[in-house]
Amino acid sequence: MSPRLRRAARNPYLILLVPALVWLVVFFLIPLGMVFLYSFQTRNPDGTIAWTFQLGNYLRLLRPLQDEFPPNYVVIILRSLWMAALTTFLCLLIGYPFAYGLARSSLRWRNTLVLLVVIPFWTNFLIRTYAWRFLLWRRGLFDTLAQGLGLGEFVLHGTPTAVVIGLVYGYLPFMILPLYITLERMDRSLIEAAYDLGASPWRAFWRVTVPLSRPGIIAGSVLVFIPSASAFVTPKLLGGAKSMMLGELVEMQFKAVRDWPFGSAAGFVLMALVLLLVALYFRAVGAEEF
Amino acid sequence: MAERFRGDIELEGVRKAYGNVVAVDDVSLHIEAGTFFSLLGPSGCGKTTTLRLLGGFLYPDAGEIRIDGRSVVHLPPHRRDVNTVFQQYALFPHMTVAENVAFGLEMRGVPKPEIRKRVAEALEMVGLEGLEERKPAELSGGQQQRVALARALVSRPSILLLDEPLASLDLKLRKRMQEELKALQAEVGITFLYVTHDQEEAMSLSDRIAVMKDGKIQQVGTPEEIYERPRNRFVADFIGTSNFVQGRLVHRNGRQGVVELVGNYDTPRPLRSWVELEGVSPNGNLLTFSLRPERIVLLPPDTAPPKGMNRAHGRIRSRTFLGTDFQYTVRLENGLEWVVLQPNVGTFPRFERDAAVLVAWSPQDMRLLEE
Ligand SMILES: Nc1ncnc2c1ncn2[C@@H]1O[C@H](COP(=O)(O)OP(=O)(O)O)[C@@H](O)[C@H]1O
Ligand SMILES: [Mg+2]
Repeated sequence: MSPRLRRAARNPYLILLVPALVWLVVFFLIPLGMVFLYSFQTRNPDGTIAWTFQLGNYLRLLRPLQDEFPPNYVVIILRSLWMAALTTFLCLLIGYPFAYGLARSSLRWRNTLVLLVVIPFWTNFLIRTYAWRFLLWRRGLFDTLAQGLGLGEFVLHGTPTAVVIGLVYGYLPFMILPLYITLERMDRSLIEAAYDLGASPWRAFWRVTVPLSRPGIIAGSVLVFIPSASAFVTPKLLGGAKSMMLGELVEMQFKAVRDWPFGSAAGFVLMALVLLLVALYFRAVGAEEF
Repeated sequence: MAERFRGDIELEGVRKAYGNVVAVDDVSLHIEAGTFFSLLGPSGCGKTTTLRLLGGFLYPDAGEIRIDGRSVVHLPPHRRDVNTVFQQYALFPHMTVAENVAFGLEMRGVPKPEIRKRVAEALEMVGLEGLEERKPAELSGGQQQRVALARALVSRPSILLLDEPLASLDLKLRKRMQEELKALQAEVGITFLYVTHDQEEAMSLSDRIAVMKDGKIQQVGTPEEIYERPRNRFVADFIGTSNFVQGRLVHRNGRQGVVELVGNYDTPRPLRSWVELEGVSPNGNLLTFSLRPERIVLLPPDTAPPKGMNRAHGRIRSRTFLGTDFQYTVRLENGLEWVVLQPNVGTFPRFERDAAVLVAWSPQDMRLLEE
């Protein structure tokens, strides 16, 4: 045994890791390995797996302008990443002021507001997304209102905009909560020190508050970006053919098309891309400091 | 010419309450430009609140605050020519030492090359050359303290507010920083308003001290004035130690008077003391005096006491060796117990426990307190 391992073996607290490790191996790593294996196979006509071991699924995914529906997987991949990035940015834009206000509000208000952020989780995500459908589609609330006011048609359902609205709505709490935690425990006297040294509130915010809330920004962005990039319920219910996302494609392959190998390959590409982008992001913002 | 008057602070009837806690209660103070002024008082007496009112972080409920004759009550912190050294330093953890020090200059729009020059000067002034690129977390407490000082002084404010800046340093370092602070203030010549609960610190650093209690100023004066002429029981007790002696005036002769001391039990001959009375006309009321331990003299019982001094017989109850002094507790004939401090010098006789002694003190050292 290496000295490091021997040292680790003497640490009795390591035993506390065992349940989680067992759980991860049995319910995460093994299925993941199986899916990875599937992604190199092909599909029999009846939907079962033919053990052929080839790279065809990956090539098919990355080959642009394929003559089939949906026609272009590369476009879907790029769109997924772009919509996830946009969602993350919008969540940050909307979530930061809210988290800031939350952290600065009186204790009595704070608990109520945190509760408001968490309350949507009490209802099923699917139901909430259906609710958005009623708001956004033809003769939905927004459309009816707009027409009533003589503003013409207002139908977002089926557009990428609708998907982004739904994603921002769904993942905003994941941005707000980590931001709130970093802003709340931030030392107020640092901001006072900035004022004291002649910084206007605006400059103190950009020079002190924002840099110090970086851990929250990083955590929130990762927590929003990852599920957004692989979302399938939201694009399926709020979007249309022009807004298909990669998660939706994976779901479709596994269920409707019953092409598990191709779905597995798509899932792996998605995972690899998300991991790569998150790694690049960590690198760019210097997350190792935290 | 105008330079000479920068940093003059006036508080007039300033009041600040948090809910129903009155933290600062009708405080009026005049702090002249260029003084090292200490605000001294126990924890919770309103020192920080007073500083925050001056820094612009709090708005007074009543009263007026003027800096150099101009009201600043409505100015936000970043528009006041006042910098603060915060109690926990409040250094920006994400910036290097140099960036921390440069911050104030940057905010004031000083050009880059000049910033570099002045940051270097400021760091040299506090003896931190070579640490420019460190982060605050990589510095010792004393070094962080110096960065906070450099950061506050580099933009040349006319007033520096310091909130217990040495409280979290160990004793040795604290003593050294005290000397450095004193020297620094003399060098930059601006007003230092220094908050502390440590009376020794206030005494050794300050030109003038304001003693505070429960949001009210108890006394303002030079360290000597406050020590020698404490106005009330609180000040006499908080600054140094005092024996509190109560008595009733039984005779008066101009500035001198005789009081009959209140003891713990009656003695055949009541214990009396000559005292000095300035401008008060007590009419048989109970008076309280402060008598400093080091102003009391202990003599062998058969000696003749020095002329003009009060005397009493007593017995040593305890003796503590303090290095430079011996501290005795003496029980007087009427049952009172006084603390007496005698220098550890050959010319002063030493006494064992239970020894009989003659206790002597001069009338001038009986300081009448307002009650
Ligand atoms: N933000 C606040 N809210 C309520 N009470 C406060 C607040 N700050 C200070 N106090 C109270 O005001 C009084 C004075 O506090 P402070 O000025 O901090 O005293 P010091 O600095 O002398 O220890 C204390 O009784 C304290 O509890
Ligand atoms: Mg304080």
